[in-house]
Amino acid sequence: LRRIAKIDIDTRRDLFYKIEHNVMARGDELGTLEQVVLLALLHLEGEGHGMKVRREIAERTGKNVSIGAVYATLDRLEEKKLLASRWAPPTAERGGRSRRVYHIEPAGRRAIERSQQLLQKLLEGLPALSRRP
Amino acid sequence: VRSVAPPRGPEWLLETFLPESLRDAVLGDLHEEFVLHVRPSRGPWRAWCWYVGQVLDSLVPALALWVGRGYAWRILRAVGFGLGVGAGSVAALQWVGDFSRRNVPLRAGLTPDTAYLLLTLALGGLAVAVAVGSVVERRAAAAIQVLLSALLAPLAVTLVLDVSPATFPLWYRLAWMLVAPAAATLGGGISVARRRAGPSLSDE
Repeated sequence: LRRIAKIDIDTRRDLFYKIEHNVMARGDELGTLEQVVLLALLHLEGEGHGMKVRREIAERTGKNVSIGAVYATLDRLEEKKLLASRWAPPTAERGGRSRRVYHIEPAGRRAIERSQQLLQKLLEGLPALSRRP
Repeated sequence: VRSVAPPRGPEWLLETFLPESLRDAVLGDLHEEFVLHVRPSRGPWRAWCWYVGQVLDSLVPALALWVGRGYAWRILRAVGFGLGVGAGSVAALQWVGDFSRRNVPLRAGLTPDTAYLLLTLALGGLAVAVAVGSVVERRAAAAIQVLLSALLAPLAVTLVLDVSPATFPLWYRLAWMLVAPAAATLGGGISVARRRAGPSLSDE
C-alpha cells in the first residue's frame, strides 16, 4: 500500500483499471486473428470446426485465412481456456480422419467483450474513425 | 474416391510439420473441403493449386506452433548437435589428413582427398539423419534416419578401413570406426525414446 501511495494518481488509476478489468495481464490480450476467430465462432452460434470458421471469416470479411492459421489460433485460444474442443468420429469424406469441434467458453465471451470495450474506449474521441459524421 | 483424393505429396508435407494434436483436424478439414467443395466447383487443376496453396500457407503457423510450445530448444539442440557432429568431423578429418599426408602411404586408387571427402559426406549425412530424427515426429522420418544410417555408417567404416589400414595407428582406426555407428545409434535411441514416451505434443 505504501508503494501504491507513492505512485502518482494517473498511474494509480491506470493500474486499478487494469486490475479491475483484468485486461492487460500478460498473455491475456487477444490478438487480431484471435478476435476474428472468436467473433466468427460467435456467428456460428458458439461452435464449429476450423474449416467452418475459415469459411465464416471469408464470407463476412472477404479475407482468406489459411486453415493452418485458423487452427493455430483455435489451439492458442484453447490453451488460454477461452475455447474447449471435442473430437467427432472420423468419416469417409474426411479421408478417415476425425473432426475437432471447438466451442466457446464463457471466459471466451468475456474476453471478446473486454476487447471490444477496450477498442471502443480507444475509438472514442476520434471523430474521423467513429461512426458519427 | 481415389481419383478425387487430395495430392499426396503436399498432404505428407503438412502432416510432417503439424503437431500430432492438430493433424487429423487440419488434414481432415482440407480433405473434406477438397473432395466435397473445391474439386467439383473448380476442376482438378485449380483444386490442386488451392490445396497446395493451403498447405504452403499453413506451414508457417504449423512451425510457429512447435516453437510456441517449447520446441524451440529442441530444434536448436538438434541443429546444434548436427552442426557439432559435422564441424567436429571436418576438423578431425583435416587434422588426420595433414597427419596422413606427412606420415602415411596410402593404398593405390584412393587419394586422401577423395577418401576425406567421402568420409565427410558420410558423417555429415549421419549428423543430418540424427538432427531430422530429433525434431520430426513421424515414422517416415525415422525410416529415413534408419536408411541414411544404414547406408552411410558402413560407407564411413569401409573408407576408414580402406585408407591404408596397415599403417594407420590403431587408435585412429578404432576412433573413426566408432564415430559413425555411435552417431547412428544415438539417433536411433532418440527416436525410440521419443516414441516410447508417446506423442509429447498431444493435449488429449
